[in-house]
Amino acid sequence: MRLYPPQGSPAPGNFRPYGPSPFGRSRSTTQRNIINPPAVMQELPRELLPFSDLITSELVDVTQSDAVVGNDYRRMGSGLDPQYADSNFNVIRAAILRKSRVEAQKGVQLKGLDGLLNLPLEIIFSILEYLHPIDFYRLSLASPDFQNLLENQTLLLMGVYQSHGVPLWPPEISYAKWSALLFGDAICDRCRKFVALPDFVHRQRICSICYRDGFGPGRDWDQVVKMVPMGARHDGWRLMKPNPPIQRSYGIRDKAQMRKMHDVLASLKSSGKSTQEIDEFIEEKRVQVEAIAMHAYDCDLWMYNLFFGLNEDMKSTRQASVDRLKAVLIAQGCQDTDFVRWDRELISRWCSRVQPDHKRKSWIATLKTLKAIAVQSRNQRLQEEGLKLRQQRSQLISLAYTKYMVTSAQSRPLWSHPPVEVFLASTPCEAIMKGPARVPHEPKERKYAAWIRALFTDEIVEKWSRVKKVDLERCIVIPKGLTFGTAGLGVEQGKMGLVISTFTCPMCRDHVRRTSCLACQKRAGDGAGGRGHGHGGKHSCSATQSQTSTPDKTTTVDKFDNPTGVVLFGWEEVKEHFVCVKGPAKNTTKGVSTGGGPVTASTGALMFNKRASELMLIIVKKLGLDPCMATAGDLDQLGKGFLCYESIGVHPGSSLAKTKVFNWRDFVIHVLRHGQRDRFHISWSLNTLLVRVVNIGSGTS
Amino acid sequence: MAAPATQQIKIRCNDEKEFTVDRDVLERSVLIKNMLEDVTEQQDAPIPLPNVSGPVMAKVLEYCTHHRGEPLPSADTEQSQDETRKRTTDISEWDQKFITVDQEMLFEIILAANYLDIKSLLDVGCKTVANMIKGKTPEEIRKLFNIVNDFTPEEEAQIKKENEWAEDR
Repeated sequence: MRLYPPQGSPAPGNFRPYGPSPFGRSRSTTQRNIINPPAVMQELPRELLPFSDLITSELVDVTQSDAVVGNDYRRMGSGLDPQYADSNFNVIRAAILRKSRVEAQKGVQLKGLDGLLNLPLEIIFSILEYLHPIDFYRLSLASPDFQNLLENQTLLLMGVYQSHGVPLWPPEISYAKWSALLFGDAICDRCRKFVALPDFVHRQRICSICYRDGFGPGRDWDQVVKMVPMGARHDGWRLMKPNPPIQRSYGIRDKAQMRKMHDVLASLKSSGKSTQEIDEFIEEKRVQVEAIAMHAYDCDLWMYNLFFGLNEDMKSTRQASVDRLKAVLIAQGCQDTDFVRWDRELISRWCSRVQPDHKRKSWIATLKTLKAIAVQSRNQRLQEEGLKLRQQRSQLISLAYTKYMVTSAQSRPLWSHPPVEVFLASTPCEAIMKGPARVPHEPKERKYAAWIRALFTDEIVEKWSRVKKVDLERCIVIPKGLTFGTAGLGVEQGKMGLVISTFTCPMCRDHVRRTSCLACQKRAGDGAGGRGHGHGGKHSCSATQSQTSTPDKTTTVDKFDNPTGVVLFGWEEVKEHFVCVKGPAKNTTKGVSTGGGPVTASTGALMFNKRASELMLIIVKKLGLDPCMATAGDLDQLGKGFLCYESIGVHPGSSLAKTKVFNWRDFVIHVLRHGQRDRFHISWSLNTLLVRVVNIGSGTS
Repeated sequence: MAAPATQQIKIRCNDEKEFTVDRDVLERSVLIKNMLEDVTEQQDAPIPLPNVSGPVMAKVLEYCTHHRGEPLPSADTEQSQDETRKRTTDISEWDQKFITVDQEMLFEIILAANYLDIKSLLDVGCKTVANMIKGKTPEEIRKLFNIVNDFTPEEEAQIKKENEWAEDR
């Protein structure tokens, strides 16, 4: 095995790849001889040159050499030849051309250079000085004219080779063959089938198959060792003894070389040469052997550095590709978290097996795959974020919608144009689609309901919206155990919490397992169906019928239509709404559940009937406003208070037994509450800051 | 005897076009510099440049004007930088823009730089052409030079073997 420094570490100055020199000559002297070869070497008989590869320590299966191949190019070894029978593959050429092409792309790109051939020869040579030796080789392949032009320019070629650090051709081999060995197609010279690295000792390319099989099996190892110089014998023996395949690989060739040497020596003896002359010949051959070995060492080192540089270049290229891809993806909205998956796993796994330039297409394909993965990850992330954004936006829309409704109710006349039509819709879009014109009939209770809606301030609405899981499009918020109106008052005063009650229809939402459907049942009963979204007028629910068949007569109200399924106001709605959400009560009497069922409000709740509407008309009129023109804002600006004296006949501990002053919103709640409790025994007094106290009750002032 | 830097020199091209240029700009050309040093008396007659046309001279003067402040390469520095100069074909950004011309003008500039002995301009031209040749395959080289593949089929087959196409010396 060739003794190279380990990959990544520079070769030490006194490092000798082929073992210690048996001749005690310095390497530098030999190297100078290579550059300026002495005449004696040029006069050596060519047929003796193959003897030079008798140093067994350098007889190596190149496919197993870490030094030449390296870990990253392991597949160029034994597994490479049969699998990659590509004669165009040449890692030396790839390593050189990679930089060459990059540099060439920086320059000016013209369509043709045919005018170059008309330039003076000295200028042409000045231009050629900037080329790489591989370009000379390719120029020679392009045209016989170039071939003839360059063939005699030895000084120019040597200068170019030296300036680019490419090892010069040895005196025993022509420039043309040397350049073909370095830069030509990497095909095995023996079998002409498989890829092979150049062997600078043999000055030819031999694939691993030919190394293993081409030289035949078996060898007389002891005899070979005796023929090897002592310095190299030790290394050769150490390397080859535990490696029978290598012994087989080089057996026949070594035998042939030794036989040739033996024949040469025999012919010298038979020709009458003296022993001294024969020894001089052997010494001369040894000098030649060392010169070739040193030259091969330089060439291998050059190739090693080239591969090492190529490896680093490939790494940097890969990293640059990844960085470039990252930049593009970040510009498209990807984040670092999107790269984690493929950056760490796929690339690191793939790059450990990456091959040089001939795998570029695979690398590009992998980059595309990785890009798709990153984009997919980005899309998934954006989808999740978009879902959150849509939910937030939906809540914001609902909040804005509710605010709009309250503001609209407060700013519009209370009686003449109530905005009840909007409440018929379950969503803002639906409200827009339906429009007020789609509502043919508006009972007075709706007007009153809209007016009640105006009681609620923005603060309450915000509290609603802050409660989690509030779907303002499909639910209303009702304080536990209270009606809508009293709950609003309590919330406004900050004394109550909020409970969430959703009312959904089994015809519309499948997640409601409630068998009863108040809205549908009612619509089926009163025959007002058809305006809702999906609620059929003929729909009836037996469970709902069982509950609603025993209405509370004391709180019977004229329930207005509710085609959207949204519970609006009224005791019946609230009561049954609780039942609907909490599940069927085990024992329900007059709408009030007992025995583990849902807790409903007491009967003293707010109702919205004709009488209440009339009361509110009276109140507004007593304040000196026109009910058909006044708005909630007008009432706020009026700044009047209502002095409520204690009621007659109430319990002394009751809150009604005290005199209180309410603002108009609180006053409305109290008036209605007591109005529905006992409509004939109301004794309220209306007091303003400027006007005398006015008693109202039972429609009389 | 060194002339003042602001001295104006007239030159005449082969198409009778004349330029009046500062002396330090023209001294980027070793040829003209030697001519000016040889002439002791100030003359109004323009210097004839029979091998350079007007448009090419305009480009050369553009280059010389841009590089007028740079030191001229001496023989020693030129020899010391010879090795590195051969290895690198990097061209500065301005020079790249300057040399972005058509093929005919490029070769004219190279010839003019060679004639006027402007080493740096000649280097830029040669590097530009070399960059166009570098890294090309034989087929690309044939297209570049508009060469018909005149290898015989036998030679072509031999070329494909590549390490047998040339005889050993």
